[in-house]
Amino acid sequence: MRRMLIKSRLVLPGALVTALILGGCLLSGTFTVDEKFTFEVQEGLYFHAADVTDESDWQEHKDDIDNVDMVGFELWMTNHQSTPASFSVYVDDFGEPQWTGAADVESNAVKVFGDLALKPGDGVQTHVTYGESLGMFRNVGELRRLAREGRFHVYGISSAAAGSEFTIDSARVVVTFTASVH
Amino acid sequence: MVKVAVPVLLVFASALGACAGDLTLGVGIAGGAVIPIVQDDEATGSHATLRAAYRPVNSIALEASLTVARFGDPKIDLAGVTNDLQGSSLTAYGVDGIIGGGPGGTVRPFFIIGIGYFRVSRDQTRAWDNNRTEFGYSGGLGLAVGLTRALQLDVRGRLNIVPAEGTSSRKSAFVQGGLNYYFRI
Repeated sequence: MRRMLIKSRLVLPGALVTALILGGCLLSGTFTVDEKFTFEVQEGLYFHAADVTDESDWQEHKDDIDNVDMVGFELWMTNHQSTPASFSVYVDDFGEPQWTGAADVESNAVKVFGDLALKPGDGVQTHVTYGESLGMFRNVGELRRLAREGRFHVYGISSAAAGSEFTIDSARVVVTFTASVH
Repeated sequence: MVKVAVPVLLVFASALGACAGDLTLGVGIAGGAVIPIVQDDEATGSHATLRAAYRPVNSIALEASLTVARFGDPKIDLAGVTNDLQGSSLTAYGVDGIIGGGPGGTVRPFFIIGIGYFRVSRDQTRAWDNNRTEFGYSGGLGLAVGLTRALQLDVRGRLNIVPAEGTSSRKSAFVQGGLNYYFRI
């Protein structure tokens, strides 16, 4: 009798815990994908068509992505001038035209990363780590929207001329997203 | 000092418990690990909990708790990406219903079903955070060991689920050990 009483006491909480686990909510997670940039230099600005849709995690979860939690960059840049320069990142829809002038980018794309000071001097690199970059963003709603598509245009504009006075030595984009898992 | 203090406290707690009738109100402290579940952007960290329980009958309790946790810094396993993402801070408060685990001198299992509010923040990602306190729910189980009639040691595992956008959720688990002290009101 006592054993039956104990068993009956366990049924309800056991069922509730099981419901929590099996209710679907457990079957989701937060994932991180990245892509190494190779920026294309053109007419004083840098351009890259970011595309993480080939990444295996993205492929696996692309239909179940509920939120882009954050987007970060890992950047190494060199300002070859003897004076400081600034650097900003703009983003635009993948389907939009590829803007070829800084003025077009500034008026048509969205600035998401602004006015980073680049230390002057040949061989003096400015390094923005992934963690640092996360705190430098603005207009994150727009970046989230674009990143949700998995691909978007990225423009890098500096007060120094791209390619000669200023180079982006290495760049990566890191996208963290939450998705259901089936 | 500790060798003397612990037995003295146990005797004192035992004496208080012996004076009491039904032990209906309890207070406790706990600590342990907070473990992210399927979250690339967090790692296992630590937490501390304050709690107060009301037991209208010995086998059932309503327990209010406040937990402050800090996830560990995640390892971003991406070549060329600096591992400098910090873990988030988590503040959680809520009410749990507990079945079993009443005070006494035996080992007693218990089950937890609860609701609460969860706030996750990370200085590095402030621009990305929604800065909201979000509703969530939890469930778990544990074992309570009565050290005296009034003083109880417990270990428990608690799964926390905070619904996010769409059908997703952020999940974590508290694995904790704690001490509860019960008295009569």
